[in-house]
Amino acid sequence: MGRRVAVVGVGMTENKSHWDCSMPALYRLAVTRALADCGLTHKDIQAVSFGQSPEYFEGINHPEKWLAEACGGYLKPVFRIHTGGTVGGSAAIGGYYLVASGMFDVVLAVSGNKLNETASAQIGLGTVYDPIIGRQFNTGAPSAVALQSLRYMSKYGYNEDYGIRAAVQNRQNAMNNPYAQLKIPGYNFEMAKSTPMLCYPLRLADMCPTSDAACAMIFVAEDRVRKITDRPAWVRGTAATAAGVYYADRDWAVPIELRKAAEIAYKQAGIKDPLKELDVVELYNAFSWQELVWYEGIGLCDWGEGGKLFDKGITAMTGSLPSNPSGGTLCANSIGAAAMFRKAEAALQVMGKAGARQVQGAKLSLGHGWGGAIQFHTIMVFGSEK
Amino acid sequence: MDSNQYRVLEGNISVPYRWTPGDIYGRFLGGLKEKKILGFRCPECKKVYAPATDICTACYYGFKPEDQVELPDAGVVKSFTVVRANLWPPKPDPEVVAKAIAPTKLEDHPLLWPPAPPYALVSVKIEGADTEFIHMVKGERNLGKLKVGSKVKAVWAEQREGYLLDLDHFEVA
Amino acid sequence: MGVNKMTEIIKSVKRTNYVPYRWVYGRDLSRFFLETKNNQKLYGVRCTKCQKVLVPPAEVCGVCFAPTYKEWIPVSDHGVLNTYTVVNLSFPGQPTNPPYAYGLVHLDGTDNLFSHMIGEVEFDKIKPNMRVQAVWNPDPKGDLFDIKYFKPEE
Ligand SMILES: [Zn+2]
Repeated sequence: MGRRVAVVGVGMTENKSHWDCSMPALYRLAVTRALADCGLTHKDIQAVSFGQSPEYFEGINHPEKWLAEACGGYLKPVFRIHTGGTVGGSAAIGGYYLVASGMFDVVLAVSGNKLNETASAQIGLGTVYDPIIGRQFNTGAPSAVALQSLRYMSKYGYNEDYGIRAAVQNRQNAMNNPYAQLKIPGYNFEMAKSTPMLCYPLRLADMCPTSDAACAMIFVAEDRVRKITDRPAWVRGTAATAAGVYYADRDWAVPIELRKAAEIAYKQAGIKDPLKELDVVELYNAFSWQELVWYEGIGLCDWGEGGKLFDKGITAMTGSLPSNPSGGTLCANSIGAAAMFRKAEAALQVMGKAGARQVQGAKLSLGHGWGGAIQFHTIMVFGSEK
Repeated sequence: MDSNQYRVLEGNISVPYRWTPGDIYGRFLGGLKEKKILGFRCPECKKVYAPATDICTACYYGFKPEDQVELPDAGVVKSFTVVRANLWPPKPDPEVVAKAIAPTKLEDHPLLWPPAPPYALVSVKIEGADTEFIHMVKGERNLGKLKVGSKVKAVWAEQREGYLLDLDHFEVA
Repeated sequence: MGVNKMTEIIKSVKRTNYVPYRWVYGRDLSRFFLETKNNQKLYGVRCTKCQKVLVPPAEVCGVCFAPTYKEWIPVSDHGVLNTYTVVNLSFPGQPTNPPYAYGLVHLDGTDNLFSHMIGEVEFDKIKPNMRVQAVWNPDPKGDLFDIKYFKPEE
C-alpha cells in the first residue's frame, strides 16, 4: 500500500450555475478553500492531480493547459486524469498515489466541471459513445441509466416507488448541505411521484441536476500530518476498477466492477463486515435507483437485496449506516467534481467537520465514484484512526 | 477483404456553448466593446496582466475589480508568424452545421472558425503590460512592414459585442 | 487611467464549436456493416478462450483479453429484450423526436447485448424479457440503421 497518507484539507464550491465565475476562478475557489481548511499555502503544494470530465461539456480541449495555474500548479508537476464521471475519484486516488509512493509529501487533488456552459450536457455525453456502433442513439446519461434501472427493477421485482423513495431520502438530506444544488423545502414522496416521466422508468425526481462545481483535497504524508491538523482523515483503503461496454454476459443491474473495488478496499482497510463496520457512505447516485444498486455493489447486502436494505431504514440519517448525508450526486452533479465530492464528504465525516450533515461519532467512511457506461468505479475508505 | 471495402464514417460534432468569462475577463471584454484595453495589476508582484486573467500565475493571487488599469491600445510586437497557407477545411455551410450531431442555431451561437489567410499571428506586449497579447496583424501593407519590435496599434471593429475580435486586428504604426 | 465603473461586464461568450471527422470502422466493423448492407445478415465473432460470441464483432474479448477467432459466425436477428427505456426527454442530437423506445437486445446465439431502437409496438406493451426481431431497412447504407429497429417477435 505504500506510505500512510491522510487528507488534511478539503475545499468545495457550491453546486449551482456559476455565471459570475470563470472556470479558472471556480477551480481556484475550491483550492483556496482547501488550503484555508488546513492552513497551508499554494507554496506548500508539491504536485497537482487534476481532474475534469469529457471536453465536450465545456468545449475546451486539454483544459489543464489553462487551469494548471488556477490550481497553483505553476512550475510544479500537474497530471491530468480523466475517467468520465468518476474522474474526481480517480484524481483523488491519483493524488493519494503520488504521496503514498514516496515521491511527494503534499499533493493537491482538484476536479470540476461547468456543465451549464453547453446548451445540453447530453450533447457532450452523446459524444462519449463509439461513433460507429453507439452514438447513433445519442443516449445521454438518463436513458442509459434508465436501462440499468429497469433491468434492476425487473430482475428483482421492485416497483417504481423504491426509486422515488431513495430520491426523497437524498433530497431531504441535502437540506443540511450548504454546497448542494437541489434543496426543496418540504420535499416528499407525493411531490417526487408527481414529476414527469422523462425516460421510463425514470421521472424527473429520479435524476440529478446540472451543476457547475469544483472540489479539492489535500493529501499529506504520515510524518507531516500532525504538524498540520489534529483531525486528519486517514486513507485506509483505495481501489479503482474498469470494465468494458460490450463484454460477454454483462448485466447492467449487477456491477461486478464495483464489488471488485469494494473487496480490494476492504481488504486494505481490514473491513470484514462493511454494513457493521462502516459509519457512513457517500455513493455516486446520479440517479435514484443507483442508490440501491450501489448498496449491493459495495457489499452492504447480497445482489437484489438493496431495496430490502433500504426498507429497514439503516441508510437513513437516523439509521446505523447513513448513506449520502450530503444528499449525494442526486442533489448536485457537476460530473467533474461529483466523485471527488463523495470522497471529500466521506473524509469530512471522519474529520468531524461535516457541519449539519455530520454523522455523530463517524470513525470509518466510504466514498464512491461511478463513470463511463456504468463501468468505472472508485472507492476510498477513510478512518479517523490510522 | 478488399482494401476498398474498409469503411469510413464521415461525420461531425457541432456543439453550441455559452462560456463564462467571469468577473475579471468579463471586464476585459467589456473594455474591448468600448475600444479600451483593460489590464489588471497584481498588488503582490506589481505585474500587469493584459489580456486579463483570473489569477497572477506566480503569486496565485486572485484578481479583484479594483486591480483594473486602463492601458493604451498600442504595443510592441515580441514575435509573429505570417500565415499564408490555409490548413483548414473550407468553412462549412450553415446547412451542413444544422445537420450536425447537435444542431445549432447559428444566429444565437456563431460558428468559431479561424480567420482567412493571409494574416499574421502576433504576440503583442501592450504598453504598460507585463504579459503578451496573442492577436492578429492583417493587410498586406502591414504584413510587409511587420518585424519583431514593430510598434502596433489596435484597429477596432465597427460592430462590437464584448468579444476578443472587437479588436479586429493590429496595424503597424 | 484607473477604474471606469461604467464599463460593462460581459457575462457570456456564445459560440459554436464545429469539428468534422472521419471515423474508421476497421477490419471487423467494415465487414459487419458490409453484411448488414448487402445481405441483411448479422455476424459475430467467438473468443478464442471463453468461446463467448460477441456482436458487433470485436477483435479482442474484453474479459479474457484474448483474440477472437477469424471465422465469422452468423447469428440470428431475433432475440430477447434485456431492458429498455421510453425517452420523453428531448435534447439535441437524438436519433428521432421523443417519445421513442430504445433498449438492449440479447440476440439468440450471442453472449453480449446489442443496443437498438424498438418500434411497431405501443410503449406500455413493451416488457423486459419479451422476444423481439429486427426490422431491416429497405435502403441500407452500411451503418447501424441498416436495422430500422426491433419489434415484438411475430
Ligand atoms: Zn503577482
